[in-house]
Amino acid sequence: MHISLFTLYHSSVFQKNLFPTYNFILYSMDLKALHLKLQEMRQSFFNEGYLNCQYTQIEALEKDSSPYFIVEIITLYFRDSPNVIAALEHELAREPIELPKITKCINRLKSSSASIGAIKINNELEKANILLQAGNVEGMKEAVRRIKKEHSELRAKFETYFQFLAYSFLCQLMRRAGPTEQAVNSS
Amino acid sequence: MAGEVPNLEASKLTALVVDDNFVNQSVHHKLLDRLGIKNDVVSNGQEAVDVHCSGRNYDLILMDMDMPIMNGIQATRRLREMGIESKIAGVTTRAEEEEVKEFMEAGLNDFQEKPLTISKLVSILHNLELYVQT
Repeated sequence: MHISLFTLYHSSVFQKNLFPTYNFILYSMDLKALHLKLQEMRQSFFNEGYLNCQYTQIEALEKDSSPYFIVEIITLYFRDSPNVIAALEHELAREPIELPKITKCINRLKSSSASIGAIKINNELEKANILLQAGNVEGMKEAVRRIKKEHSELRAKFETYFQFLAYSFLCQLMRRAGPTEQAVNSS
Repeated sequence: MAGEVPNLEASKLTALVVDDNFVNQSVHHKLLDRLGIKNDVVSNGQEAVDVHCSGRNYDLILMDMDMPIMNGIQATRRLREMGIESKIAGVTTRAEEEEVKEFMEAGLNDFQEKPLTISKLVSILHNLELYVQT
């Protein structure tokens, strides 16, 4: 049976969890280069200050180094967090603003951002909280714009990283499956 | 994670995760799994009370503070009123003194600031005498 890489991809856990399908031109990279690239990309999250050690805590929870759990968690985060940010913007647009509702949104986002180690987003949330407590609504609105920017940057980084991660994992699966056989036409 | 992760499967400890945040639910569930602690997850204080009313009991409850319908402070108070003697550890990102005090006074046995890690969870278990480090 001829195993199609894309058949494997579409049946993999990533398909139901992950961001939109990307065009894989990665097949030209050999595995060693791919692994190096993955390490580089992963390290850049820390070097550029997007993530802190909490992220490595989550990665380490999967016993067999499978990426499923971290992909699941990050996907959950990016499914929920846009709704919280939208709710925050909605509350800030009200007049008069209701402080407890805004605080609730901030705390919710802080909680999940802290859980995945999204330190840049969390720092902006801390600043937003200080502005909120000072009653600075315009400052808060600017803070939410910065939160959105950091959120969107982190999401874009993860989308690219998970694309490489998915491909690397599929290559490993194919290697374990062994050599493929060409389908033979019986007629 | 520094050091060995203890395996507490033989201790047959059980835990309940009470948190409305899906990310935290998954992480806390997995943390407990990793330690070999069987655990259930509910989304708010009311569900935590309901699950106890149905007859379930747990050695440890990880209780978030901010939740809809019934928050962690209300749920902790209610569980203690019901005579639930499980160890309850409050876990929240909100760590201002006044808020922690109110949460503790509701009936907590311990408190940890989020995000939870294996070492913080082991510390909770140690503080609550559910695990003795050798």
